Amino acid sequence: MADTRLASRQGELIDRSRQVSFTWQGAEVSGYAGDTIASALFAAGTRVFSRSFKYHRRRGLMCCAGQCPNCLVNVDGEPTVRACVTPIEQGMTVSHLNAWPSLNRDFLHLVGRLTPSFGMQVGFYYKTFIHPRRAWPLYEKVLRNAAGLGKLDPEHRRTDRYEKIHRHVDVLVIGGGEAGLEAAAEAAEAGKHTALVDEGLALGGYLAWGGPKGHARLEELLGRITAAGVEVLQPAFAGGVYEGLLVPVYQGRTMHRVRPAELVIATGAIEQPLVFGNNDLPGVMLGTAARRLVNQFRVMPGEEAVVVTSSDEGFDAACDLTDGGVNVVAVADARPNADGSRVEDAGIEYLPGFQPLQAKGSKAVSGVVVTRNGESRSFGCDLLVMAGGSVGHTAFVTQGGGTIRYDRERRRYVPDSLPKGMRVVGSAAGTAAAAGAVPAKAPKTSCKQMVCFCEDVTTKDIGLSLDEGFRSLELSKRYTTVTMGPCQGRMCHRNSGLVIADELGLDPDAQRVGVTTARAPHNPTSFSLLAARGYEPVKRTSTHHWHAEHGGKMLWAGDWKRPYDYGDAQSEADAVHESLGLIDVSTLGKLIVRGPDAAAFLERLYPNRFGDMKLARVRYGIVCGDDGSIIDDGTVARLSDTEYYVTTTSSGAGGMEQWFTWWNAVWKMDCEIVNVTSTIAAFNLAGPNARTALQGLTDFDLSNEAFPYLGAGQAQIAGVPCLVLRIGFVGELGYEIHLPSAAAEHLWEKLMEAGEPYAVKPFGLEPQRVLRLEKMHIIVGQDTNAESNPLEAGMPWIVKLDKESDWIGRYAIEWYKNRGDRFALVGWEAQNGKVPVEGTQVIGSDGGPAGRITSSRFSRRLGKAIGIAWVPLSMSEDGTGITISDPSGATIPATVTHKAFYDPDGERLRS
Amino acid sequence: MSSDPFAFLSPAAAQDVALRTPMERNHRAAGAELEDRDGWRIASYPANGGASAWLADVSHVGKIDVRGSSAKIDTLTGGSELGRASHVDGVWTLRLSPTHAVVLCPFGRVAELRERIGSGDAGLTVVDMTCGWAALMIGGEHVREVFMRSSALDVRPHRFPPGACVAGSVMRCASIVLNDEGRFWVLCGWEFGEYMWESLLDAGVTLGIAPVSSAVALGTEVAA
Repeated sequence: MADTRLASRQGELIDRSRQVSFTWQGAEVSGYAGDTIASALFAAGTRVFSRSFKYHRRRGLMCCAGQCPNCLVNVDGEPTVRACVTPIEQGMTVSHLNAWPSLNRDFLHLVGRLTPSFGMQVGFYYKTFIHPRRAWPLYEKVLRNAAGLGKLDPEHRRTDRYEKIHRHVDVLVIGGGEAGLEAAAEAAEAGKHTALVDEGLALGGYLAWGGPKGHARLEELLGRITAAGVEVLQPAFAGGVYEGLLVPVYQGRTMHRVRPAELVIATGAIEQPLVFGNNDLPGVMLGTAARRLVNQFRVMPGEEAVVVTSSDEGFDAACDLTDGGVNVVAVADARPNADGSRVEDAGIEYLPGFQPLQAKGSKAVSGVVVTRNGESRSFGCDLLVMAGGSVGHTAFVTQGGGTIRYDRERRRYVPDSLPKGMRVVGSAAGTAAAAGAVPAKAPKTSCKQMVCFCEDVTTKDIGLSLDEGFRSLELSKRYTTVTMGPCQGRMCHRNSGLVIADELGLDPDAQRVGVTTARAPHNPTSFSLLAARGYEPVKRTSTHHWHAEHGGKMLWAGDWKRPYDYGDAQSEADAVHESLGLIDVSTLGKLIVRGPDAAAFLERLYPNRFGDMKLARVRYGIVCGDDGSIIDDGTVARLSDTEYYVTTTSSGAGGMEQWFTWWNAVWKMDCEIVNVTSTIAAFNLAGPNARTALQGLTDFDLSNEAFPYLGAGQAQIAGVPCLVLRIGFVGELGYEIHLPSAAAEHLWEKLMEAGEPYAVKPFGLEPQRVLRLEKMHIIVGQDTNAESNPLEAGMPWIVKLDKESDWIGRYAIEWYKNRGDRFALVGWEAQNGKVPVEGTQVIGSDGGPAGRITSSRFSRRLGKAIGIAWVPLSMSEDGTGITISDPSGATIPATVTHKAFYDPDGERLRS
Repeated sequence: MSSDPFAFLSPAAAQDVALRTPMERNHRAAGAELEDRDGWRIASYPANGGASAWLADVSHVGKIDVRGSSAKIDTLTGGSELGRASHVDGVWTLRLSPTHAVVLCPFGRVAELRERIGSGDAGLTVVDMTCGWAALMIGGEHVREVFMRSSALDVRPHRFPPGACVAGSVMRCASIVLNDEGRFWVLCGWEFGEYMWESLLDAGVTLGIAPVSSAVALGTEVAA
């Protein structure tokens, strides 16, 4: 192959003084600094860069602008890198994506040869690989290995750091062509904080790759944006436009999450391929691609060229190629009446009214046949340039919530309505000249006519989809996958619409076949960029590290880390029963409700009565939704006439604050709600020796007479101001101690020290679950769900229907009462020692599911498996025998019980 | 019951207690010395040699949450606009909403200020939130760059000048941010303190962030 590098010229991107070496398919290749992988390889003689997705057809450069899939390669282990926009770097390792065993000898191309008889036409996966059924595992393995674009090496570990930066600007301009540069300069000169993002290798768009004539204008614009202080992010690409005009801009290993006050879309226009036989052969490329090779990388794209066009852009290509030393043999123009004098003056044969029929060649293009009204002409060539007109790049408009419409005069889609804050300029707005004749569908040939280069969708595939009833672009898309590939329709949206219009007998200019929406991300984007730094908020109590340092198995409990146990859950539970245990319950939600209307407010929120609560007392309560279902539970302590301290479940803290605040805003009562969950740590000291141990740390009288069950009192314990609540979730004598978080580790250590003579054990969540289950204390959200009302949950005593004030859920609960219960939440004891899995079924008399196990544990103290379940009312009587299913298929006999399994009369609790 | 029903929220009433911030383990792991000052264990870091970004744990600072009618909050804040904070005699008063203000003060003044703000006005709810919010301070030349890696809040100089305050998300946690003459306070839930410390240090690692003592950050010794 002759040396394809052209002489140096102003505007070239390459630096000929610096050679850069990299490997391609294991062989060393040299290029210049500034070369892309594609331009360096092309200059070195490479013509085949990839194999197509389905048929594994050879593919060469087509767009040279990162729009098409033809040059996707693997670079240093990263797949789907666009070779035509990726600069070469010293030592880079580049290889093909999806051929086996090699790019030049790919056995998988036989797939294309075998269609349609084997059945790889569109929709084949609905019709083939079905019989014999037993062969499916083999089919699946083969298909999975054959499909896809590239492989991710599971051993490949990224150690690079990826960043995410939040940015706010007054104006963000997407696109650094002439219109974008002008818009950015104007905005910055008006004093606005302006950023411009461009995915090209050089700013300027057409001014840069269109040849020397644009350079003066480009220099002027570059000078203006520099002087005005425009921040230029380049090369970088906008990933999409999201709600609120949020635009992620990906630059190297950084995602800039940009929130502009104004978004300017200046993404220009994209040249379109033409549809004809073998239009995907290596050596068939867009006019703009050829011009980029000539003008920016100074590479001859071929020696003998034919240009097939439907717009004046084909003339531009022909002239640039001629200037670059390419022998342009002919220009075939689908327009019968265009002025081709520019081409003829350059000495090129001009063929008005001729359109391409078929590109010739097997491994690369060797010629082309063009046709007009039955007349054919053949030409030999090693470069076939297709210039099918340009369409505005409006993907960001529709992603951002705007709409597009078809402009008959300009024969392209243009923006129609735009969301607030967005404007479109330049070719993307449709300001460029008319696209030219709408190419008629190419006459049928025996070879494939590609419409969608990404997904290997041909005109025949689209025809098949229409025959099978998918008679619009949206439907055909879902059946054929046209426009679904990496280009998201940039190369095929227009042509697929034209083909469908032609097949359905519609006027293509009317474009009544519908449009599709390009989906983000705009370009292949690695998950590393999307994930960047993984900041996962974690809540830790103030004694977190004490637990971890003392054997606590720290696990997630909601968004907190809590100790599951300290090595032996059953021993920890035993310690609470026999002597003394200590658990960190700091995660409980805690709210202050204070004000003259605080009592009345609580009366309206809870089905309980709180207005009659005495000072220094605490009461258990449940919160119901409007539908009477239980949404949370906790305690309420009365601290003064107008001040209450409310606890909620750990996971319900935020929700209950919102619930309380919302209703207070509705009722406009004179009270305030303050969330003090973070401020207060809380511990539960429980066991027969709790009083004795705690008394050693405080002057507060903890005797049963002075501080009975359900009392609330303020005490200084080991120097720390505390609120002590005498309540018992775990069923033994217990004190829930609330204190400032900063003093938590101090007090915890003091409590453990005071408990040493009593062999105190810290206990975690798992022993707590066993202990509470022995007392049949429910866990809201586990033992209850969105349909659980307090009547059926065994708490009719908590519902005060005779309260004077209305309260949330009252109407619904009154309705449930009148309707009668259908289910009941009951305790059960297994009869054979087996422990059912939580979530398994209670089996009804008909053998089907009748109820559900919500809690299940083995109690070493009681020597049996116990739990809680929902059962139909007919099975809820105390002593009823029930049968519980087991995942193994066996069943577990159990007996219903209404009383707590342990200390049913609460004597130990109240001691 | 005590005359102050919410005395148990306030660490100021603790006696002979070593009060700890959520980041104590982080400081120990980084080699800082822990000194007892005014009841708190405060981290002391060696001089950082002029790091371009720094981070300090100022969780021991007193914090008071005040809620009431907009007229009462107007009086408290001296009529500050929403999103503005005043700084008088070492005390910051942040106006976060028409009916919500936050006071930052030396820890030793919490009891006095609670008394002063709440006295004679039952219409105000005054809660000691010293242990409710962990407090971090980011400073240095690259303070905004660190912050931009942590939050989508707009902290451009013309949008977030000195004295501006805002409630929003920092490192995915509900937070309050204050611009203190180019240093940013970040208040988050006490339970997030350790996470926030680690995350902000990570965010600034490419910018050369380093932990510093709270005295350096605050520019003063911790007041009693």
